[in-house]
Amino acid sequence: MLKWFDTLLTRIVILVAAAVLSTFVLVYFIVQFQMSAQNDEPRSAISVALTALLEAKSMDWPDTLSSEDRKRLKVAEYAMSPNALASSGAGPIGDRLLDRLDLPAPTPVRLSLNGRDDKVDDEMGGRRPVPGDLWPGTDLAGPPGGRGKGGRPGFKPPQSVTVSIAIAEDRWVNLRTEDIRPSQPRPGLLPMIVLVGLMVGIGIWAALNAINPLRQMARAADTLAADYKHAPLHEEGPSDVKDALRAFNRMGQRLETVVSGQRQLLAAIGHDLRTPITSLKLKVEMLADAGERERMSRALAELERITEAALSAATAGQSSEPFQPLDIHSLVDSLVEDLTDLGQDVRFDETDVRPIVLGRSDELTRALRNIIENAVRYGDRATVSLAQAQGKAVITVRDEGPGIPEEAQARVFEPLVRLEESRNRETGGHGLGLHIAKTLIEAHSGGIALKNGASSGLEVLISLPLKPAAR
Amino acid sequence: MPEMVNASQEHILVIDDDRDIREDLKSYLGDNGFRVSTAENAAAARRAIHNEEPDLILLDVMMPGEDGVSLCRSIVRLTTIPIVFISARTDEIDRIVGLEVGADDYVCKPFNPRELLARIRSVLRRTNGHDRQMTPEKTRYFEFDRWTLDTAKRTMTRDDGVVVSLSSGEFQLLTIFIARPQIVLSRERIVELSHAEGADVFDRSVDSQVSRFRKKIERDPKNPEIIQTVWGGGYVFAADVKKL
Repeated sequence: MLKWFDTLLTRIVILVAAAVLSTFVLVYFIVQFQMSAQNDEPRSAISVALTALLEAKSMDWPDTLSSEDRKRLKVAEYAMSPNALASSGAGPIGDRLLDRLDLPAPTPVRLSLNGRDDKVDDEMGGRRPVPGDLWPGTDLAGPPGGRGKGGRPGFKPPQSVTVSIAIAEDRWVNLRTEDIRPSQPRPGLLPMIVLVGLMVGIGIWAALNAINPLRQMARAADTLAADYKHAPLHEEGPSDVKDALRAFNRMGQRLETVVSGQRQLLAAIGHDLRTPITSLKLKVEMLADAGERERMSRALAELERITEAALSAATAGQSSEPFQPLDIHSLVDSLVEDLTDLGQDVRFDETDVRPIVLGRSDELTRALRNIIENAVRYGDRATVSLAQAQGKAVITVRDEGPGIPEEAQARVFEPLVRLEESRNRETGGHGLGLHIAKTLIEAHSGGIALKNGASSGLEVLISLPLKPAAR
Repeated sequence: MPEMVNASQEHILVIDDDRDIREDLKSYLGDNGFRVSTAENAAAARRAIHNEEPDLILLDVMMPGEDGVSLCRSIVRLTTIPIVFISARTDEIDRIVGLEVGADDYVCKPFNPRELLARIRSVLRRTNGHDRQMTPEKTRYFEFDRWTLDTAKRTMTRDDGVVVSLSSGEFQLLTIFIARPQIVLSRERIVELSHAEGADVFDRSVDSQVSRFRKKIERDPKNPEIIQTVWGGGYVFAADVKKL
């Protein structure tokens, strides 16, 4: 599935477009169907009149028409009279009528067109009718007429027409049709396209309105997951989305309170333990028995180490100090030198890359130190290398130990977890080092991953985003 | 075994609100040849300073009522008695504040008693005039060439804003040089000074340490401008040093 297709926005837009399009297609076919139902009927009063006149002529101009015939032919009145009932001259329409009726050209023809009201008569006098407008044989499906001054565009009122033809001296055929509804113009394609476009536009706007809060929530959830800090979201959007945002805000605040409460508790215990440990250290130092002093010192050192680790875990990533551009090469290099001076077997694979990362040097040093010390403790010696790729600085710490089975790898970052089945209890370690390292690295928007080496050993990969290049 | 009590005993005033710590420090420092008196708060401390004129003050930062930082400020204004801070907080901020208000050194609880002893002796030696050089700890920032050294964080900032880390050895070397700009230092003198700073000795030779460090700070490590080699003499820190 393509990614862009999978977004809520795309789906809503497609839904709206499909709905609008199908509505239009449906309406279009209904209109078409109704029009074709009318198709066998004459489209204008003139054509009705022509049909009736042809019929009358075929009957050799009877004096009257039966009511059935009148109904069939949609004729309101039919009469022979010595004078014309229609008032106006017929112009070119008259000529064509005569032509179609096969009557000689000089035959007098009169015509009057009546709308619902009598104004149409005036209108007729004021302009020349356009042939295509009224003449059925020429252009029935032509563009809409209704160019009259008063008429609504695209809509013609029902009309009747009175035709008077002098078939002999003082003998006029007068025929008035029923009101005929002229054919309506067909909907064009352009307004449909414009309307679909408009609806899709509105759809996108409405969908974005609904989706943006969701996107905001996704970002906030990521931040919350990284450092348990919750910046309240602005509650906006449709009511159900707003409900979700409100619930998310409540959850975030609660989570922040709980986590920071536990951290404060842990930090307070750690701080408070420091004083009695100091006191014990002084007392032990004054013991006369060297062996006793040695044993108690060891126990105290362990107690101190656990206390400090707990304090570190409680305060990791909580610093408010601003990030600075850091030269990661010097950070790794200095740390490796310090650890070497402390007698640990650590080597730095020298490299020419000089990645710059935004961060706090003390925190990154502590994270890396925990990882290297862990590698030395469980894997005898550590080799550290540094690379730069795809906008990231990657630090790799490789050891020569037995590695960690893949299914257990995620667990080593949990606090107080030691993988006793594969690792030796005697080697010590408090199970907080990697947890602290992960917390600190994630506070720098970085990532930490484990990988077993090809033959043996464990690789810890730390990736940190590079400082964006200055323009 | 407690040493013989004599008049030349140096007098330490321990100011801490925790009774156990006060008593333990009193016995431990007493065992190690110091005369010790104690105070549990700022008011008692002021009385003791006035009456007994101690040679050195061990001061707890966190105390109920007037805290150690505030007390330190007023002591520094009135006397020249050296002060060593003790704190249960290892935050950098505390260390920085402590040094900025005029403390001479700083130890964190839970400290190693022997380390405390070494720090006390080192501070006393410095302030008694044996080696009363400029004490770099009192100034936090130093500027030289295109670098700014932050002695509290032990990092250098380049003029483009990038922070470069220093190893302990490099930092120690730099503090020795920066306190003695334009003075030729022989290798032996550098080793001697590194002992005097109270920290561990250089494990590697001065030469390899210097050449390593040059890679970090010199524009062209093959033609060093900051730390120059003096033929047959040793090294000289040639850059101008400015205290900030």
